[in-house]
Amino acid sequence: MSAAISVRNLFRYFGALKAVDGISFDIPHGSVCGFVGANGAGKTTTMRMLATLDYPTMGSAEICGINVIDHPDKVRSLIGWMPDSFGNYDHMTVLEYLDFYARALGYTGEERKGRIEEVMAFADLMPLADRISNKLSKGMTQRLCLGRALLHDPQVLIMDEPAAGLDPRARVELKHLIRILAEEGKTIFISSHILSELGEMCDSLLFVNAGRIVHHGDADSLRYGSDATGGVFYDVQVHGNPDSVADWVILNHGVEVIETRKQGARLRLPDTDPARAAEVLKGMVKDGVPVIEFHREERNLEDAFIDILGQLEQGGAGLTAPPDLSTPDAPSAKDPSISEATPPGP
Amino acid sequence: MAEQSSSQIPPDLPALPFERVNEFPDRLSPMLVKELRQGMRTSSFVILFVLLQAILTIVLLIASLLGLSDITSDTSSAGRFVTGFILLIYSLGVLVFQPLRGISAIATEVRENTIDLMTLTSLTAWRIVFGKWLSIVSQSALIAGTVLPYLIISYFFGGMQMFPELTLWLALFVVSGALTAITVGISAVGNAIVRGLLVVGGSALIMGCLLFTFIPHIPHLIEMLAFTRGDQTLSVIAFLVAACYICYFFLELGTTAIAPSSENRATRKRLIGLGVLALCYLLLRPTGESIALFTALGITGCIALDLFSERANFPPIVCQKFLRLGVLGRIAGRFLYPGWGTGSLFFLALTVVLCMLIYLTNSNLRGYTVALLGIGTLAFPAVIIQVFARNSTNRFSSYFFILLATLILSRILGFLYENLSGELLLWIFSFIPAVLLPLASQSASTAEPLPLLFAAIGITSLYFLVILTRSLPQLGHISTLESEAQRGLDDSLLGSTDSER
Repeated sequence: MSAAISVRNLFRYFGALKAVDGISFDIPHGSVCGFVGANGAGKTTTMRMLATLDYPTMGSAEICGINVIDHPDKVRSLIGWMPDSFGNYDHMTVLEYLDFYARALGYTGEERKGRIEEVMAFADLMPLADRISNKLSKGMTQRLCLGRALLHDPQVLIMDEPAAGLDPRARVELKHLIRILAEEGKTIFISSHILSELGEMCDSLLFVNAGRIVHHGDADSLRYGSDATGGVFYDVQVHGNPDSVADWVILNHGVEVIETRKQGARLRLPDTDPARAAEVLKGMVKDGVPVIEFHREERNLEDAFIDILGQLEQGGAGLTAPPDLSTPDAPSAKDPSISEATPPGP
Repeated sequence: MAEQSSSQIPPDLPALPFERVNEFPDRLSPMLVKELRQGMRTSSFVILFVLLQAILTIVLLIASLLGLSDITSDTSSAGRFVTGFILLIYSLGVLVFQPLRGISAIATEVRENTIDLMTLTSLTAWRIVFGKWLSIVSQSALIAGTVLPYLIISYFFGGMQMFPELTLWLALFVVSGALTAITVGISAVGNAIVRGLLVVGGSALIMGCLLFTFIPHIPHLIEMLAFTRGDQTLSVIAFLVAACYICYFFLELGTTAIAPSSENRATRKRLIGLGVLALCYLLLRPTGESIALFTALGITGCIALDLFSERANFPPIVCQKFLRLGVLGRIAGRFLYPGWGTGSLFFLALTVVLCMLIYLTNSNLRGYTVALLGIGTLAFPAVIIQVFARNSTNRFSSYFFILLATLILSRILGFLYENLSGELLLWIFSFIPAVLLPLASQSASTAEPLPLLFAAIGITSLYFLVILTRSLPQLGHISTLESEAQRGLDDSLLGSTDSER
């Protein structure tokens, strides 16, 4: 079965600016993938191309096996799109707003009523039915936008910075709704600056920098990631003399003390093999080290992202390379079609 | 989601007021429903509507009082005054204020990012633009409908020719539709300056025309709309065809701006334009050569506005339909694929067709001269863009401004020539072919029209040379796109053969 979202060698140039520079990735059906990158990294451009709102300079992208460039109409019935910013209509209530989109999606009569009712209930819009749509708070507007995106029950949701500008409560509500959608088996491709939230709800994370994918993996691999040479870090706490850990390490090969701490030490193991960690712990306990806590060090995702960018600046050593999905027909900067590229439409 | 939703509805919530969103039947276009809901609540429509009613009521009351107080006077002149006033007020409403409401129709949706949300529904780009237009026209129809009783009442003041005046009322409504289409279409492609210019300049121009041309000519128009002569009927048909084409063309212009690039809207637009040009020329030819030629050039101007400003990039899938037709399809594609590259070739074809029409209707050399000067004038902004502003991000606005400046300059020079007889001045500015038009008009009465014809041929040919040369890279790129499209066709053919096996 093909991936829900499949991107191959996607390029988007705006004149000399390489907004998207040959990215390739797959997102399986039913998964939630976070799209992370600094401002101007190419997130929105990529998402707009997937949503058939922009077209690539070169490369291909498919939603559920359908090419977004050749068959935009078919793709549109499969996706729900939440842009990072949009305006609502004046002189139009929330109910009329959803009614318009339901009509525009081809729903009639009782079916239209049913769809509107369902999304209003899901996004908690019932109390807002008579409110003018452009006079809602940011959180309410995002819920309305989510409701609109779900009207046709799409298989894939593409959400560009849905949590931007939301207060903490609205953010929690939105996260809750996204979790429910993920449980229902929808494929969700979501970009955000709030990495900790993405880490909680995403099955995988795509890091993009300067139009290129620099990491594609799950959040755990970043949280518990290894250093440049593959080593991993453990935090050990002991009851009593903290030097007992360092003393034990001197007698045992393959383990290093990186830092001695008040209640123990920070250790480095040469690889990620959990059996080795178990052996170290077993050895310590056996040799009488009074271990009260032994756990793998967890980085927060922001640190992981900064580390990746830092490693990129140093030449990319130790990066978790994204799987090589590219084909060799990437365009050169001298390609005349590139310099002529102009964004379509508005 | 269904399970979730049922668990999410608090039990004490009131039922949704669905009756409020069922006031429009399902068979109506969603865009029309949306625009009517919004449009009827806007203060601009409500104020205009109420103001029109108030003014017309007051005028009728005053006219009645005057009529009653002086029963011996000629009531037919009072009737003519009342009818003229009603038509003027009605014209201001439907020819100035209502079309102006379209000037931000698409631009607002683009600025607010809501156009993306609409294009992702099953609404096509055409339905979005058409819905916007139809909504304003429906509101204009409402105004027209409410003006009608006043017009009928004015019948009792005398001096009214019921049928022609009602036809004029209808004709004004048709013109209103065309003007609304222009503003709606330009709201998608023109920049803020073009739109601003259209609001200020366009409304001033129309108001000027209404006051100084339309009102004094109402009797002539009424006479014409009585359809007493055959050529008048043909002229009215040509007027209707041209008005419908202007509606179609400008709505299509807006549609092209928001449609995905895989949608080829250029081919049909160009072919329809060509057909309308030929039809209007032939319908108006019995009325007069000049009116036929200038109408044809006006239509060519519309087509050129689009041809030279279309975005050049389109995906290979657009070529597939043409490739299925073999060599003929490939040749046709060079004229009909989207983009200003092929647009340049199509413009050449358009010129050939116009010259053939002139030849077939036995026109004199002046006809060719005027046609070529007109074509050269339309090619001039394209040359400027191709040479000096090749990377212009908004070719439409650039073309529009250059053409407008060209026409204004030509008019000024024409005025100077008429008053100062400075022919040399016209020849100095002959790189703008339109400035030579006064000489072309004069050449009809002189024995030597040939030098002017040769000048028109020379200037226009030079412009074609520049445009076509600068379009060559775009035309060359088409071969690459066709190769890719051919590969796609071959792959799908292989795929279907495999599945048959």
